[in-house]
Amino acid sequence: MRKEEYDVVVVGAGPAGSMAARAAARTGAKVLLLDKRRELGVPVQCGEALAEEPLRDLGIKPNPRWIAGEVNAVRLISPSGIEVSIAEKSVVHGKVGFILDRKVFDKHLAMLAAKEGADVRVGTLVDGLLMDGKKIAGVKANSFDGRMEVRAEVVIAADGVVSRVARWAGVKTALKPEDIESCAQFQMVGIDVKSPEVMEFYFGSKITPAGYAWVFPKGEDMANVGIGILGSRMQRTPIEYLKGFVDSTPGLKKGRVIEINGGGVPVCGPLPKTVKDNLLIVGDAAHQVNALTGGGIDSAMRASDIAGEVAAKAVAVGDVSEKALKEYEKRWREQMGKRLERYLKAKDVLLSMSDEDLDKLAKALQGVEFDKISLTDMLKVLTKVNPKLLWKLKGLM
Amino acid sequence: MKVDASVCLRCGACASVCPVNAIEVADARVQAGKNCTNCGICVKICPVGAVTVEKRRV
Repeated sequence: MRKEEYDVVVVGAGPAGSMAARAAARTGAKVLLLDKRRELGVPVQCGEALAEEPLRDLGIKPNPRWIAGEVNAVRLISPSGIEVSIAEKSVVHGKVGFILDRKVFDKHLAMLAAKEGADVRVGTLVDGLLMDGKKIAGVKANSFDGRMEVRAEVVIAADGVVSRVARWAGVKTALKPEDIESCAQFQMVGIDVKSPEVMEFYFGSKITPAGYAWVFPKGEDMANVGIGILGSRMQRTPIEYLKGFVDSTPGLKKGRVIEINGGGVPVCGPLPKTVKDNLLIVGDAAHQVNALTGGGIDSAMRASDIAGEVAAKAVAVGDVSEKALKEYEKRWREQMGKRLERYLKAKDVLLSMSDEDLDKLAKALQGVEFDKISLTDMLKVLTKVNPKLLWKLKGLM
Repeated sequence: MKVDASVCLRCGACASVCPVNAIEVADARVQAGKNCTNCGICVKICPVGAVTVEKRRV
């Protein structure tokens, strides 16, 4: 059996894991990044939308190789078809976000980790923790070339929504059906994309009983078309709802499906605790997701960058106790804790709204110009134009 | 639980809701370990209907 020793082992090479590995290696640790997949970024489990801001903040230069589309506005479509357009005015370089090609993006991020000196091993399924008594001492894995054991001072759990690593460590990460949006997505070609720079969100009980459908353009005639449904409110499978949505939307119906994706998105708010002795939990595994939109790349990358740095520093000073690693928890919560909390509340409000409520809301928002695509701005406008909706939105302001 | 490999997208939604951490999502296949209780939560959450259980406990 192969035996390896590292300062930090990162389980999962999605955006979270690769950013954690990159930061840990940059901070001086000997890092191993593991992923069960033989090809990173595959299968896609994501709508692939990401704002430009996190990339800028984390020093990652946008690269045309992994950008399938650039977007600068959002269109919300209410159950009865009322359209609300939100364009960003204060844009930097004329764009606010990207529709990624995750198959290339994820590989690029792993490469950034490797460039900082992290070792990367794909085709390696971690199937347990290595324990020294009660102390987490690394991971056990089934690799493409045999069994292996990796001893490490710190394990970073970046194993996505399945979040098994944290569970082996005794952290309760299992989701209940009401905690998760079950999503299906088609990558479609030959469709009518009204405006390639606009992300569309469709609401209403006819489309999905609890969630929304999305059309994220990847150029003139191609898009990610997906749907999310809260697990506790599914009557049929998401892919059936998705077929229904495509068939009832003329611009999409004529298209062809070139890829089928699926995934579960934790929309319950972050774990109450994301550190233990020798362990950090990041990204979807820590439920660090915007519960309203289901977007998780931004928060995962930011939190993981902190995690990697904290892990490496802890190893350097020889204290990888929960107390020392708590700095990660403190810093990510300072940066995004409140925001994620508010998105969670907003999600609950959205899920409580009937089709009629949503139409009213759309009418109220119609024609209003927003300075920035932010929840606060939307709510401010909303409470001015339709005070009756305020009672549902209290606690969000 | 049983997974129809021709339908499964290996997204791991099933594993994320498994109350006993029984489901392993590998690169090529998804399967449950011996501790699976056939509770059926995974069946309900699967986005593509790839999962079945032999008997459901109510």
